[in-house]
Amino acid sequence: MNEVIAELHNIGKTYHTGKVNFEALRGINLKIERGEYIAILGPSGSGKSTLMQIIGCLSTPTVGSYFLAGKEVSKLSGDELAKIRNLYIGFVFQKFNLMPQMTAVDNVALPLVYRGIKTEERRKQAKDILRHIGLGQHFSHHANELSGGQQQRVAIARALVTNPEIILADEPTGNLDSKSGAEIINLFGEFNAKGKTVIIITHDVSMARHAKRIIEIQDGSISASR
Amino acid sequence: MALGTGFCERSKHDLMDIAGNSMAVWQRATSKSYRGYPKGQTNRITIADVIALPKVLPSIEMVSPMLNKSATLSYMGKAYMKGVWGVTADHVKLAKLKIATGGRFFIQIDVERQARVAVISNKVKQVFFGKNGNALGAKFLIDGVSFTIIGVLADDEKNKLDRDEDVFISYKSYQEMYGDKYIEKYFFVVTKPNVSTMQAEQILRSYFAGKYNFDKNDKEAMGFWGSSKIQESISWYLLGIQIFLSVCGMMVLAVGSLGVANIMFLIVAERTYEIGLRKAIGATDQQIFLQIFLEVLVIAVVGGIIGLASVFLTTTFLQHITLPAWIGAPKLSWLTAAIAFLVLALIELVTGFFPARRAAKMDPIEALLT
Repeated sequence: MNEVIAELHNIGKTYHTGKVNFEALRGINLKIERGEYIAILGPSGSGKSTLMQIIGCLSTPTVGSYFLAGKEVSKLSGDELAKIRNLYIGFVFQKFNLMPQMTAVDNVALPLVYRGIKTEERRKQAKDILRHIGLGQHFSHHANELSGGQQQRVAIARALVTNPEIILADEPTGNLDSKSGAEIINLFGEFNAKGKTVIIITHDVSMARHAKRIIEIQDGSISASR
Repeated sequence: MALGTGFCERSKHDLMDIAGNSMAVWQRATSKSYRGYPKGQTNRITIADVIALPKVLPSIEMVSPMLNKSATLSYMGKAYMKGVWGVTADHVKLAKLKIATGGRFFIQIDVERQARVAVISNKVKQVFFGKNGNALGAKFLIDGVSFTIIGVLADDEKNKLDRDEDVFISYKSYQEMYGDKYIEKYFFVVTKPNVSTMQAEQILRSYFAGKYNFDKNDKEAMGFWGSSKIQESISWYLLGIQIFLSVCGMMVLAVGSLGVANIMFLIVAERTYEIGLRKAIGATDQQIFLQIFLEVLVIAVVGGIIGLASVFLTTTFLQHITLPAWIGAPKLSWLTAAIAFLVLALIELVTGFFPARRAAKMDPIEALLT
């Protein structure tokens, strides 16, 4: 059995809107081992995005505890969580979320800024990753000069550049055509084969099938894990 | 502001140039009883009193009795009704008159001999001799008495101010013609360079008080209008202009500040998504705050430098083109520029601080959803 990289105990998340309380997650217990390839599957409004935010340390649970790389992170401050995200998590968003005014290299190098790495070294690492994922010809291209698939590859490169423990992808093929989507899925498969922990949040069953474990979410609870 | 400063300095200079150390003096009814004389006495200062002043009072440099009447001027059958002044030979210096080339003002010896010589204004010359005609040496009549023209006032801006219609003759010729003995209106004195007109007021009042038996502390007994009074009124006038300019400056600063605050707000609003992303990939609140705040600082400094450079270039340009003389050369006040720069920089920092703090406190999830 591999080392547990993330462990959620009885996690609950309640949103307060005026006098209305909305329980987005309740009683979530989940162990994720290093090198797993997991798909969190659920329909819209099921709580899967909230779960992704908690796993990615973008949000903290209302109740329960969350251990990431052996450290309890559910009660940390905003700045501490930012550092944790920078160290352990690589995000891939549905809308790519690239900086339009920056080149591909600068976009990929951005997370390294917050590690205090010098510009030259940042750019070198960013170029290495871009080359690795087949964008060696697009270093100085801006986001609007790249196709959707290429933009998502740049976003994946940005997620990988810090060599994180977990790659967390939220509907990564949602804005792509089927061919580009398939290429991205293959990339995730490659990373996982090299030992990376990959978690994909999706409502698409066919995409979830590429993962080694599927966790289904329904009304804020885990309804199945297979 | 630079234009305003130039205008103020030019006005001050022009008015002081006209006034110099000179002062108009006139007599009024006394307001205090003195040694048995009831108040309300009008002292009759004679022309001889005035002429004697430079000899009896060391603080007085020169005088002019400013005798004045409206007279009929005639030449070659053409008649013209204008003011004639009976003045001393010093009047040309005292009133800073400029005489056109070829002519001269009358001198002391002309006065002593009661020479029938006159200096006329350029306008009077044009009436009788045309624009290009030669008046020098011509004889014309003042109230039927023949005078030789020895000088014409230059067609100069300063001469035009209030000398357009005048003819000047010596006070002795004037007295001979009209029999005047007393100062009917006012006379001019110029003090020595080291004596202020304020001091001269005291000296003259004391002198005439002794001579005509009124209280030397009776400020109503004599009227004075000189450079000190002009200075006083100019300073109020210039203060008014400066207050107006300051208010304009403050309004410009206020409008500028609103613009800056708006820009700062937009910088953060436009970049909410970017800030969210930066926070998601590991930026701390402090790093976001510093990033936005440094950008504000750069905008403030670069904007300030561009603004100062524009002002400097515009002022330099205006200094090198011909503007109407009354405007004066624009003068850049470095103090004003520095204050404006600092105030705007401070406002930008304050208006930048709050959006930067707002950005730093942003929830990355909410920011990413925008």
